[in-house]
Amino acid sequence: MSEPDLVPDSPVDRLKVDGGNVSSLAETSGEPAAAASYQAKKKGVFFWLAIIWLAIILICVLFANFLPVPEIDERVGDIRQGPSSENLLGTNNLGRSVLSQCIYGARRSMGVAMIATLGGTIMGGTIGLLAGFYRRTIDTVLTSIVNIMLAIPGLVLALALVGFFAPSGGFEDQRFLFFDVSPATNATLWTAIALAILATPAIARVARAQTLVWSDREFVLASRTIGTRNLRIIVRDVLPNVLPAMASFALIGIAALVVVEAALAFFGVGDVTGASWGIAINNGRADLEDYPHMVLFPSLFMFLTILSLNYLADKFVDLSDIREAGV
Amino acid sequence: MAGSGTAHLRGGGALTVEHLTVEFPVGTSGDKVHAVSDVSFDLMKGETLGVVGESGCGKSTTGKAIMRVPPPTSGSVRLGAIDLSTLGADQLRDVRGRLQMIFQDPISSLNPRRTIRDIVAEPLTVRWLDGFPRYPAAQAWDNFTPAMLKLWKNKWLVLLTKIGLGVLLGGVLLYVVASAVGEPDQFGRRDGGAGADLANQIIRGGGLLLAPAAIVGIIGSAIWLLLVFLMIPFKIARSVLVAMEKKEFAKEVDEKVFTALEEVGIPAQVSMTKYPHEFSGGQAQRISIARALVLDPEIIICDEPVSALDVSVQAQVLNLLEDLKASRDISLIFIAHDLAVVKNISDRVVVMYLGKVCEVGQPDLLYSKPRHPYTRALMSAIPVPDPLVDPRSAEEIDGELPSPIHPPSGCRFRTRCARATEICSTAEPEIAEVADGQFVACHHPLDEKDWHLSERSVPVTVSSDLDGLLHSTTPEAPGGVK
Ligand SMILES: Nc1ncnc2c1ncn2[C@@H]1O[C@H](COP(=O)(O)OP(=O)(O)OP(=O)(O)O)[C@@H](O)[C@H]1O
Ligand code: SF4
Ligand SMILES: [Mg+2]
Repeated sequence: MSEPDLVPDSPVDRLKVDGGNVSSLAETSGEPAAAASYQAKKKGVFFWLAIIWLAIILICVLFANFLPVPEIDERVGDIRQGPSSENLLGTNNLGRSVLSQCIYGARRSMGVAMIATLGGTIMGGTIGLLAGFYRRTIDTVLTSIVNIMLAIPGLVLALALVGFFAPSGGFEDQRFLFFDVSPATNATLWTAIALAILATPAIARVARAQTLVWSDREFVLASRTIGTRNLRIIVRDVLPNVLPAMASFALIGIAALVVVEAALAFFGVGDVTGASWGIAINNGRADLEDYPHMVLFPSLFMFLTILSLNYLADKFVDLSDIREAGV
Repeated sequence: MAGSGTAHLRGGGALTVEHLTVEFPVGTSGDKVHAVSDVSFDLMKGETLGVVGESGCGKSTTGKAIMRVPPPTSGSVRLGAIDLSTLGADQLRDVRGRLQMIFQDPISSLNPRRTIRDIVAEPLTVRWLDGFPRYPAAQAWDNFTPAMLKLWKNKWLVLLTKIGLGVLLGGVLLYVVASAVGEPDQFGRRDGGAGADLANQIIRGGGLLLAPAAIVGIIGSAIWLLLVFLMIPFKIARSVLVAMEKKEFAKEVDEKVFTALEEVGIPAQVSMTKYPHEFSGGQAQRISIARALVLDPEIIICDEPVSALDVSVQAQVLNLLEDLKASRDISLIFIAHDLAVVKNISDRVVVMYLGKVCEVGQPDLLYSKPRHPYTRALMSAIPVPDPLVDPRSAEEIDGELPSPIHPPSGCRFRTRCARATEICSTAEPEIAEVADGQFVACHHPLDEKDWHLSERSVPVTVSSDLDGLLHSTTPEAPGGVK
């Protein structure tokens, strides 16, 4: 350990405790080196690049309206102009700023992916924890539910949910209290719900596998022997240990769902009037050969985001993999 | 050494284990791991009972079965006069504090994501939380869930459902077949005719048979869901209650944790807020001991508490246990895989082989006058620090430990026993007293002439590194070196 106050006990203390027995030293001798390796985990430059990029995307998601870029439906110049000093990333087939499409697109693409992943993590995590912890009948039942969910074709589910709950119609602005309940938002929300259901089985599997491992550890047995209730064991002993793997998987899940959301938008499922990376790519598709910038820039936004998320997910596993003891 | 019987029980023990059996199902073929089979022993107040046997013989499983994690397949465990298997969940929770266990792997015994303070305080916290009234929804849940599960597993319901599914499947098959052989109409649809009509009736019948299960399932889930939603407001109210009293409780607990840590030789001041990875194996084991101590147990089961540690650290932890035993009036069950560790601290030793008891007696007797062939083999495996003794002269037990899935018939040791005869494969030896306080389960126990077969089997003077350390570190340890 680098800081002396991190050393659990100095040899002097131990000597006192063990009645001046020299061999006490043996017990503490292994520690400094072990702890040093714990501290020495390097984050590296790519880690920070990924964090910065994701921070930028997050700002786009939250504050797109306040950024000094044109509105999404504002005509800023001639159509299909390449990048220039007025329009940094050029204009699209309607003469709108591609930069705005990318920034406002982040809101929908990332928003859907994050809400869906969050929902999937909560549902999948709960299923996985319960199945892995209780095993037997509960495991059998939950695992078969997960298997059924796995068998649902994603596109069909999304189409069905969106078609059923958010039939397309006028996309005029509607509000209920403070909530935007216009059909367009509604369609987007149901897209997110469909994606959440899609994400659930994979996360449930990760959570279940991890829970199986952790709930066999002796500290879980120790908790049982002092009469701890199951719910408390799950929340205090199992969940904190399962969470890192789940979080790491969720980061990859966001990346995957960004792609799926783009694909859905590309195929015209859900609301196709707003801005999303998938819609922007779809708009530029026809002119790919002549005006590649219309496809290139939204794709680049998407690509960098996915890369960052995947990199962070990897790094996250390393960083959260704490050593369990000094031996 | 398949040894059954209870001749060695003395009666009136602090802990009495009788006919303890633990089996784990393996695979789908109905095979079972016979991890512990009909093991009996008792522990007197203030005594240290050693349990030895090679790896995989079921020592840990025995300890865990006593703690009911998981509960034994059969047999009884009595704490004083209380039979643990007769207790309900709440009563068991109350009794648990009197009986504690320290696990084999010190690292795995501590949750890597909790601080030392929280780990050691957990037993107190759990008890404190239990002191708050259970809210009605949770109580309803507790009562409803087992009843529901029982109904769900009711054999008539299961039978009905199975028949229903079979009928349904048969109906569907019949329908498909009938339709396949029917005449096609103008749209190319085939009409199954009477066959299809019959199939429809069968399918309807199958559905009817499935109805009870469906009703139970739907109503059950509805009640569950309702309870879950009801629980939320109650839970919030309770959390507020807990939060209000938390501060006071935390102060009280901090003190107790502090004393417990100091008592096991962990400097509490600097350790409370640390995480387990900041400690060595020996310290981790001390922390486990502190956690076991905070509830003031009468009995502690130590499952190879030192086998993962350096020899020098082993001695310290053993001394600590000895000291605690004396100062706190605790009885110990001490599990180990060789006699060397157990010999110096035990009043009585139980030798186990493949889930059975072979021999029970005072450690000195087991050393100087082993009656069971397996005991002698175990003993001669203890290293002798004498250059004149050829280590290769150690008596080896031939062969592998047999599979506990299909243990040998009769005496379980017979596949590796040099003295085995016909009767050993047909009859299981009963445990019987062969000398004062020495019990053995063997058809052909060793006697005097066998004890002097080789110079190695004079283990009265056996001494190992560990012995040396034990002697030098705590010459005054009460009840320590025998
Ligand atoms: N949960 C389980 N499921 C199936 N088999 C098990 C289980 N737990 C233990 N066993 C088996 O039971 C037998 C006894 O195991 P146990 O852990 O009690 O041995 P042990 O005497 O403690 O050995 P060691 O000295 O290695 O700790 C072994 O064959 C083991 O494989
Ligand atoms: S002599 Fe027979 S009964 Fe005794 S240990 Fe050997 S095989 Fe078992
Ligand atoms: Mg063990």
